[in-house]
Amino acid sequence: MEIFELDAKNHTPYIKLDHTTGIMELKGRSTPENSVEFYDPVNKWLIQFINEAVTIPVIVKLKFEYFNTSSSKCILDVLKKFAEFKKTGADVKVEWYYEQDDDDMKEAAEDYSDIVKIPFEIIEIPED
Amino acid sequence: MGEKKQLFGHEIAVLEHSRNIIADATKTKEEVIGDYKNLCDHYEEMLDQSKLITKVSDKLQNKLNSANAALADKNQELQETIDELTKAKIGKKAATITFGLAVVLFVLSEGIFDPFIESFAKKVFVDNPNQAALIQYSTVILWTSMFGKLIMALLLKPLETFIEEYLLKKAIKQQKALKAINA
Repeated sequence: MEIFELDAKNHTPYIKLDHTTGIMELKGRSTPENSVEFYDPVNKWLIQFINEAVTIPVIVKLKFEYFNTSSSKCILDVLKKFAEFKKTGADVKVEWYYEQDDDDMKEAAEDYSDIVKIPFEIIEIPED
Repeated sequence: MGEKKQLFGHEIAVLEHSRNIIADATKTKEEVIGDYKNLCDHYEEMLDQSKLITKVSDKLQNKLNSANAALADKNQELQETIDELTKAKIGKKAATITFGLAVVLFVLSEGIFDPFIESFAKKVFVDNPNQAALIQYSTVILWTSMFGKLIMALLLKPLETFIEEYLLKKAIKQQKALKAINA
């Protein structure tokens, strides 16, 4: 299994899924032309990661500036995978970062935390 | 050939499975109830998803609207700055043109207008041997020349304004044409 890393582009976020540290990062803007195609390798990597039954604690770090509607579904699917992993007894938590005054992103995080059964920490960070 | 991934692929699979159950006459009542419960669970999950996606989508639309409004304000500010800069540039250009014209007019006045007045006055007064006529001759030359220069000086400001307005109209036309091309 290899570390999954994708550089951020104009319409896609930076992604780093590291099975060695347990830190899974997604940050930036997610408005790909085809969200399903874009998130498919992420989901495949996560299925492989879950199947390997890694015992390391997992921290999912999310820091989105903006994402479109289809990405919101794909992000939910990714979080559901982590929820499934948590059901197996794994230590999983989500850290959702939002910029100061970005109440919309903060509320989006709260909405996700209501539906996904993983501990959510919503963290305010200063504006860039 | 690989099957194309769909955003609601899982949900569509659940729906197809449920339809197959309806079509399957061999299923017992208990099996159908079990599948129905499964369908209810999926339905609940999908309802939750729909609620979440709608809420999140609306919130992000607000964010986008705010960003668009901020962008429109910045564009307005930028346009105003560009307009001011264009005006300043045009004002400078108009002043240069006016100064050039003033120099040309002054040279014309000294080279053509003044000698013309002088020769005209000479014909009228100098051929007259009267002393008073001679005095009138120098006075007429002096005052006509000064009057001509005064008129020129007074016309400079309106001329500058006229040139400035003309250049400004031309610049606005150019900007509109450029916008039309970009659109």
